[in-house]
Amino acid sequence: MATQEESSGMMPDFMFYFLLVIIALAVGYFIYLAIFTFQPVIDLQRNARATLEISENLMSSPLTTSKAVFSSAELDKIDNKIVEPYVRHCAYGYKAEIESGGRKWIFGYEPRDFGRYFDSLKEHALKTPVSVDGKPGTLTVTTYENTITSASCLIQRAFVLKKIEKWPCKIPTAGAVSLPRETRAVRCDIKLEKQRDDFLCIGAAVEEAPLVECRHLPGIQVQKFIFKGKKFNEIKDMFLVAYPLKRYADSCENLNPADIAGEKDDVVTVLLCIEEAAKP
Amino acid sequence: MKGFQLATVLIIGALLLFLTIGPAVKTASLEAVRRSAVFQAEYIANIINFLQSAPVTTQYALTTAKGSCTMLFNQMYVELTLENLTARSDILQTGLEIPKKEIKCSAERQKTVCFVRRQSSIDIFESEVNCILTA
Repeated sequence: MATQEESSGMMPDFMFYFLLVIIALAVGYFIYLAIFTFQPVIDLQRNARATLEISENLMSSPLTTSKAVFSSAELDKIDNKIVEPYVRHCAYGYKAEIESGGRKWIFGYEPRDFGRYFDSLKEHALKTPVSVDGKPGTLTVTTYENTITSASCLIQRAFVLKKIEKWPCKIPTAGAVSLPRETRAVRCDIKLEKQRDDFLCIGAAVEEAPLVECRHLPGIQVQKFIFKGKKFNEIKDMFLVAYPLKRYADSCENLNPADIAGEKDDVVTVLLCIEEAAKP
Repeated sequence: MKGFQLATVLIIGALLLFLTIGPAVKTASLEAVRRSAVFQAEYIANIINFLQSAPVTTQYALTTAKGSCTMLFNQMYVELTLENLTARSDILQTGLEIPKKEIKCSAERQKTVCFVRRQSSIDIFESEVNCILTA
């Protein structure tokens, strides 16, 4: 049993160690604040890499006679056309400009909207030395990611993979650098319509609104989609869903599950619907 | 008694420190895995996209890390799942066929995944030795 003297002698020791632990905790907490509350923001540079990959593939496409040697005869066939021939990136539309010997060929997708009505635009350009019929020249590829390219990617995935494709609806955040994302997101408050069979066009979510711009999407039929029924601030928990269908459906409400194409079925059309996130 | 007091204080201190920093470490670890899945998916899609512009028979060997992961390949994208976290990255559409394929990593050993450019497709397969001998 400790005497009174011993007890009073122990108290300063206890206080010393107690203070030591408090200081250690404070240092630990400071380290925690300094390291763990800072979240590094990483830009994946997806569009920069997509631009490089598209350029590389164009330089060995049937538009060339050998690596990076373009044929003027082949370029004449697609000059000034809104097509993305031989190479297509699902989520990025691209415009290619080839200059050589005072001539210039342009083809591909070029946005007209530039973020005025729809999404903030991500853009990246890359210039590469090439030749046309043996004369020196340059290939400039510019890639764009915006609402129409994202929507066409959603549709193309559903059509090609014969799977229901579901992307979260996005609230526009102009100029924000985002963290790496596992899934892409898309603006949903839009109107989408196929025009002249081969083009997917976008407009504001009103029946009378004009279509603002189009991306080449050959061989894929899409039923007309107009976003309705939800207010803008309710979009954040919604999804834009693309259904590959074996036959045309009247509407999302009347969609018969038996009409959804499986792996062995031919996809006739793609139907877009707005759906709520499943409640946990 | 002095030793007992010291031990008590230290144990309480360590416990408090663990409770304070532990959840943050867990969150940071999960975030690291998630980012790793995203970067790995981008890396694998990059391999396929560059092979598409390469001459026929060009090969690339990818060595997987030991552990749990699933790589899913299809015509449109690469999907990588690491520790139940999934990331996708787009494959360019150039007319070449990318066959549907699923490859699982192994916890016991590293695996070699081969990518070979063929005339009309990109071949993806596992190899026990190396890609050149098995291609």
